[in-house]
Amino acid sequence: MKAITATLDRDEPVEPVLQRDRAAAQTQEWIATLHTHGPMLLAAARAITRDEAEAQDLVQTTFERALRAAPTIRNSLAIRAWLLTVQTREALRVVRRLRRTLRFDPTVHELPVGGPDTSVSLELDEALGRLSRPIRAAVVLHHMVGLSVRETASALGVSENTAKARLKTGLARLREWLDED
Amino acid sequence: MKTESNGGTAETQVTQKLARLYEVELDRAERDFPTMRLAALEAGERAPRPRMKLRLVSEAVAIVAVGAIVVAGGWLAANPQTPAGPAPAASLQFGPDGIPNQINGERVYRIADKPEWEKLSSSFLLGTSPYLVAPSCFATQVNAPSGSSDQHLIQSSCGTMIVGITVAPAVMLAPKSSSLLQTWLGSPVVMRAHTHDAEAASCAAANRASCDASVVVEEVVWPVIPTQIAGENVYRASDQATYSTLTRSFLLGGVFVKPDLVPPCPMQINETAAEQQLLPYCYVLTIGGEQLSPKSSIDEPRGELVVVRAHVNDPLAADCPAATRTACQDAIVVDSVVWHSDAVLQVSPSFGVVGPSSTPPSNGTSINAPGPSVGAGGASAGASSGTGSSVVAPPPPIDSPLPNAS
Repeated sequence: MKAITATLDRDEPVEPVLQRDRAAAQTQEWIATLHTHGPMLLAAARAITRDEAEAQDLVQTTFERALRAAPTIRNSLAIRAWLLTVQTREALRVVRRLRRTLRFDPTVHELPVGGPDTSVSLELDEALGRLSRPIRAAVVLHHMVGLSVRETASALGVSENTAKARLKTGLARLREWLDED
Repeated sequence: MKTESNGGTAETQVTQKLARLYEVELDRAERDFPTMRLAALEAGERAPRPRMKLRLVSEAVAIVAVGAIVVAGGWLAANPQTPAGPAPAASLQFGPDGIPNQINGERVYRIADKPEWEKLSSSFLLGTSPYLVAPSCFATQVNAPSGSSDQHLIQSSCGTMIVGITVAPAVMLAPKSSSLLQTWLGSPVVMRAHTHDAEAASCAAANRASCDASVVVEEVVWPVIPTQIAGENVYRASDQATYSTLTRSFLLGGVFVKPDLVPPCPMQINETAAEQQLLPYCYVLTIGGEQLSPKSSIDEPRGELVVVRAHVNDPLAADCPAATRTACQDAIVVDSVVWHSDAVLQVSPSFGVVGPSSTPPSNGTSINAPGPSVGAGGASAGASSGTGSSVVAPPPPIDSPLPNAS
């Protein structure tokens, strides 16, 4: 009501202001929803990219895209998988594009510390880093974040069979490398 | 090496370790996530990806511009009798940031030109790529009543998670106008803007200088879409009152937005077939913010500028229940795409420099250049898509999702 009064004082039409307020409220609601998924996105991005700067960048990109898509998403149950899909595809696409023109410098991946079995984490983390990015993305999404095989396939933009093959390959390699160690 | 017999157990152990690793990573992310965003805001840093993206855009622009010139040159050589039309868009001089340096002779300022444009008393063209400031506490917090001029011109958001749009680390757009750029985030645009907004006079004395310096966007003037195609007016979303009454098909232009991913939609057992075809219920496609019916025939890259042939009052609306019949009748059904152009660069020897909407928003200050008509060859009713880009291949879509990541 306050907003309407203020608007009338300025001789502006009421309806646009109401629409604007409605849109702002929807946007804020959407942002609050996104906010809850932020840590999950960051954790997944770190695991997939192995690069802190790229991971943060990826999360920001995902947020940016999600905010642009705010009016187009209605199915709240699919938001988590949708966000991971946007992020994963972006992660894979960026690499694909940059490979044409740039060479990445090796970067140091910050390892999680403080867990009860840090040495195991370190070995696993190192093994995870040896996987190719598409396979690692599949492993991260399915075995770490907990997406279903179907959702993982969708996020990767591949068929379920391909996703299953990547998961199988990924796990086999991890097992092999962990055994070697 | 494990044997096959115990391979399954070993894999289970690996998956358990992965789950534990994720728990640790998630804990760390929960600690870092808020800090990450606050740090970025306090430092006023722009994310590295947009810069990278901009560089890629610039490269794409350069490549396509060269291609366009070559193709246009060949095309012109092969068609020496072609009458002179509007200046081809390829004649636009682009800066290294992929943004025109001039539009119809008017200089397009950059953010770096702030010392010049901030002193201007009239509106000016500002070329930049707007970015979203993630929700959190902005550096400049203003304690001002809701709906006040202070809030319209300078952000007041700490703790309320209001979205802000920035065009440079130190240049936030006035909240009252930043919504104009929602669909252009991350893309280079030229906007008509002004500082010294009249509303600044209503700001509290302590905030007046900030209000006065606030950048108020009036409209986006590039990239834009044709005003007419083969003599037929191209409506905008804002013309809804007019086209919603039409019984014939019409042209509708604007930015096409669709989800990055179309989610699987659950069955709507409570809706009739007509409703499911006409009323969006799971995901929404929009042009210029106007929702399109699911029945629409459109499959363009997200964020592309399009002109579509569409209709309302679809015959199916008669099958909708009384409660939703009006909504069904109002549903915009796209029949075909008659024109599309990459949002980053509009180059084609057959198109002119496209001008602003023929029906600009009333509060807009348009460029004094009529929007050229597109040749009839590309605009007949129901024409297939790609009339422009069939001549010049557009740059690779920056925002389109990966078709296949394998």
